[in-house]
Amino acid sequence: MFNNNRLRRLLRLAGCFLVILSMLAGCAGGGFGAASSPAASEQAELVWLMSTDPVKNKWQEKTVAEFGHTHPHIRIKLLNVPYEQFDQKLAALIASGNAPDIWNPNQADSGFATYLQMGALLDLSPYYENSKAEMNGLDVKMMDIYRVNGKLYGVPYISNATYFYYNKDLFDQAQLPYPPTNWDDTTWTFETMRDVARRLTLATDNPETHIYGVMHELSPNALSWAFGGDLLPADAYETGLIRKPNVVTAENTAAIRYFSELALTDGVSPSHQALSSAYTLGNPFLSGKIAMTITGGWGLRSYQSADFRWGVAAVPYHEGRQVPLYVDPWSISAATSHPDEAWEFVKFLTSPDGGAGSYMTDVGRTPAESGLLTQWYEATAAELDMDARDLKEVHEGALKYGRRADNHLIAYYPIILDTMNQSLGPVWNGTTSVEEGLADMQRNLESLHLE
Amino acid sequence: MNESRKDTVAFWLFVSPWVCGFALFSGEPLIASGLLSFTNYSLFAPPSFAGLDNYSALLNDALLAKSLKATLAYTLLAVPFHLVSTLALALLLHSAVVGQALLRTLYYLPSLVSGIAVALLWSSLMDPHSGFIHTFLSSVLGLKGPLLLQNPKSVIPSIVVMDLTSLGSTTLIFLAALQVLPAELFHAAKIDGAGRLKTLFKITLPLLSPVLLFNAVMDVISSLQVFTPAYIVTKGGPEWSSYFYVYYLFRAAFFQFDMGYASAMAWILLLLTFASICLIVALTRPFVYYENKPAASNKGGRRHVV
Repeated sequence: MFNNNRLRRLLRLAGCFLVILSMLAGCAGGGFGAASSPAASEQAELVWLMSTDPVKNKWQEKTVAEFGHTHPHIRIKLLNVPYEQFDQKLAALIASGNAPDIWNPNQADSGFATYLQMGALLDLSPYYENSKAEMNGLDVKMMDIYRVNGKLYGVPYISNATYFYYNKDLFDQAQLPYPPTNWDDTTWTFETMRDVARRLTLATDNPETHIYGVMHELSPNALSWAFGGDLLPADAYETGLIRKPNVVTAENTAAIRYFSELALTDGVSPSHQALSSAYTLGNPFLSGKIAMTITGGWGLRSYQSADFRWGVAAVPYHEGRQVPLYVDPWSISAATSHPDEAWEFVKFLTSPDGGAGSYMTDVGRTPAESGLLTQWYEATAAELDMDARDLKEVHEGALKYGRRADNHLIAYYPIILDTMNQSLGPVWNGTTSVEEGLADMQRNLESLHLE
Repeated sequence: MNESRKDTVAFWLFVSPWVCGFALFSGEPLIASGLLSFTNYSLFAPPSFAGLDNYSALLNDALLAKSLKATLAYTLLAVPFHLVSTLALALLLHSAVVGQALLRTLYYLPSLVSGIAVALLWSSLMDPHSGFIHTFLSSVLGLKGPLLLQNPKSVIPSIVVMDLTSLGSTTLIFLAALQVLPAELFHAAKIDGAGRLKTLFKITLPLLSPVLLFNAVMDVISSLQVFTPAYIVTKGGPEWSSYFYVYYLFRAAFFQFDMGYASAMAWILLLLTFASICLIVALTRPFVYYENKPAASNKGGRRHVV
């Protein structure tokens, strides 16, 4: 039981506690820091959101330091978020009114379209128009990727294409010629690739020595593109939204059937389950037990750790073939308080003498800036022990037959991709037909009600 | 201020942290999600009234059917597994064994580990290349590369097995209940010559039946809300086999930013959970014995008491 005195003492104690708490909160609010650092108040602070990556983090820190030297009135605060949390964290920041000032919207699983749909990106057209002369190395076609209804929402800085990678050692052992670098070579078809894969496959009972001819790392939609098909309706790439999926077509069926047969009937590719589990150890191509694969331009860097010789070539020819082109931009938040300063930073990040140049050399990605391409061809070809002209031919073919990646253009792409992958699981495992798998995918995509 | 009034003031002062916490962190979100379920709301624009659209869309949702199937499969396997294993563990800890005090401390330790860490631990144990389970099965039983989490047929049992590291709380409830069972009934059974199994099925389990029912209800609630293994380990796959209801709800909310639809899903889950509990209580009524209830209420339960 409380008597009046005890109750009063208790309330007094609680009152003192609240006063101390408010004082501490006032101190934590930056009052002391702000008073002792007048120079900081004159700087515009920009938050640059990037995913956590050991290689890229070094470049990020270097870029912040270099920009700080030439732009003392702007302070860049680097905010790193683990890759797998990137989209959620960014969405939460935007929704709570604390959006970062600059980020690459294609950095994680969600893409440009998702953030455009949120209304989170600033129209950069007026800034670009004023800076055109300084930014004349940027390809107009690439700039157009991020132009929507006449407004510019991103400035490209890398241009990863899709290539065909092969293990030169395994080709040499089988005494087979390397695949061509010319994308218009119509003798290099998917059927030819299947034949080559058969000759490269070395089937043994021991998984340690089993050699597979081919695997692919493309999304189901990119597989369909390679055969002239498309799992998504054409207007989705313009609007960012899937109104009516168009999954069950002859081209899509042919593409999925072909790639499922490689494992199920030809035995030249690892089974879907084996491949899924192999990824827990790293990229299966790096094991040296897979002779050929198709993936994005990041392979040029990630395969450098391979302990075998490898090369790049053209993706096999097929009527209507298209491959993904992953062009990443820098975008500015529509809610930024410092748009002019943010634009200064974007100009620095896309400049050949600034971030774009160092990103190419330090991180190893293909630059979007045309002035850097020659340097990139020479450096990368030397690393691959191939002729720079051949690499140029491969890259230019990839651009010619490339189309803007679906994950950059369609909103909520991670959930769409997962729906495609899970729907095709029974097809890859041979427990259902290609037609039924695609019909199931159609139903599942419709259930997402992403219109 | 008289004594009664002072008691009332003191009572409200003491419970006010909970009342505030509940109102702010449970009550308000509950009401908000109910209201949001009748809207289209993406987080980035104000909600717009959508009537019953979200609920009617659920009726034609092929993924909802898949998520319900996966959740039901998990619940049907996980609840009996959890109840049997926790009861067995409680009986073991209740019996006079050497090191009983130490065992009673140790069994609870895994329950202190967070769900995410547990999921990652099991994922590593079940790794088809280097996991302990794989190594054990291949070296001892000669089974090659069991793809426990990659195979749609084995993924649910594998996730259920992960539950072995979170038996602590339910076991604790069983153990506490075992310790207060009337000793005279066990003495009488012993005198009558009842063996261990007969004592278990004729005395222990009937007397524990209210606790069994309570734990079953709690297990059903937590099983219907299973999320962590799908989010951390399986991503709902393979082939939708672990695409649990709450995982789907989470994706609708935080990947599609469709808060209205996700709220409708949450309310449907609440109703499903309530219906499941009502069904369990109704079906088990004849088998649950409440010692302090009048004889008429225990008509069914008394049949099981020696």
